Amino acid sequence: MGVRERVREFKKYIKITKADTIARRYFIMNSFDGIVTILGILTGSLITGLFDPIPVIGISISTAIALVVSGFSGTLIAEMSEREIERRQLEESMLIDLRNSIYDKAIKTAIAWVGIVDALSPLVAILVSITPLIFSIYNLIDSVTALYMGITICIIYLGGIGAFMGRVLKKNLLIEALKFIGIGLFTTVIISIILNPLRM
Amino acid sequence: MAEKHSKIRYLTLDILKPHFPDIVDFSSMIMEKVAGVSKIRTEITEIDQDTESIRMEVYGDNIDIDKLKKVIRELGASLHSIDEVIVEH
Repeated sequence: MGVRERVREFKKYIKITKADTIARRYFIMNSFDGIVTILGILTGSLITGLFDPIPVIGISISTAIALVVSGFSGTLIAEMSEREIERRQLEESMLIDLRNSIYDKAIKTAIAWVGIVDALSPLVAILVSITPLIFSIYNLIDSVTALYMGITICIIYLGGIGAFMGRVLKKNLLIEALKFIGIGLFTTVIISIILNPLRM
Repeated sequence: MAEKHSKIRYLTLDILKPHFPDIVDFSSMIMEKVAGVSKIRTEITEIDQDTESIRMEVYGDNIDIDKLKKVIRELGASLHSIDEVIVEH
């Protein structure tokens, strides 16, 4: 089977299982998780005076890896368990073996796709946010500015997720974006208040 | 089984299937995969929590019945009965 045919088959399986809807939900949820996590790391670094970009990048990347592994494996385990229960119920109702059927292949494709989206969503969010810190390693910008820029990127990214949700729900994009930005700013404020005694 | 010189032009099938693929995708995939099919009409006759029963009318010049049964099975459905058939020379 050629590449084009495989892509066509993949798209068909995603369509018939409505995995695109599930994947969208995981994308929003896990991008949000990733970006608020990195926002916490960057804000905490700024407040506590950890201006050396290398440990901050190290912590951020290790957090990203943990979220990728957790996201992918967690989704796989959860979705496969649910689908296995559904498959058995269906086999009992229909008195046939659904293994190796298109139904079975479509389900497995959907689970793999949702797992990949779940894994990559926080990774992209975190890597985008720490880009200024990477520039600061090469002295293109100073590390304090890099932290502020990273935090700003997080807030903008949150606004982007909000706008995306607004588009999906056919609501006002600006209002939905502002809601998510509000959550980001609230997170920053709470962290600042709690960590203020540790300020250097 | 149809004689070699006879052609199956029309079938009415009673099928039990899961909710997905829905009847649009189910019918489209049969049309794509089975040789000799030119038109399909599908109607849901019963529905429950896990499954739906459908009545499918298949039209064509020379419907490949063996392939049709195989594809129905591959789609995770169960062919309960063939209720009508038109065979021509």
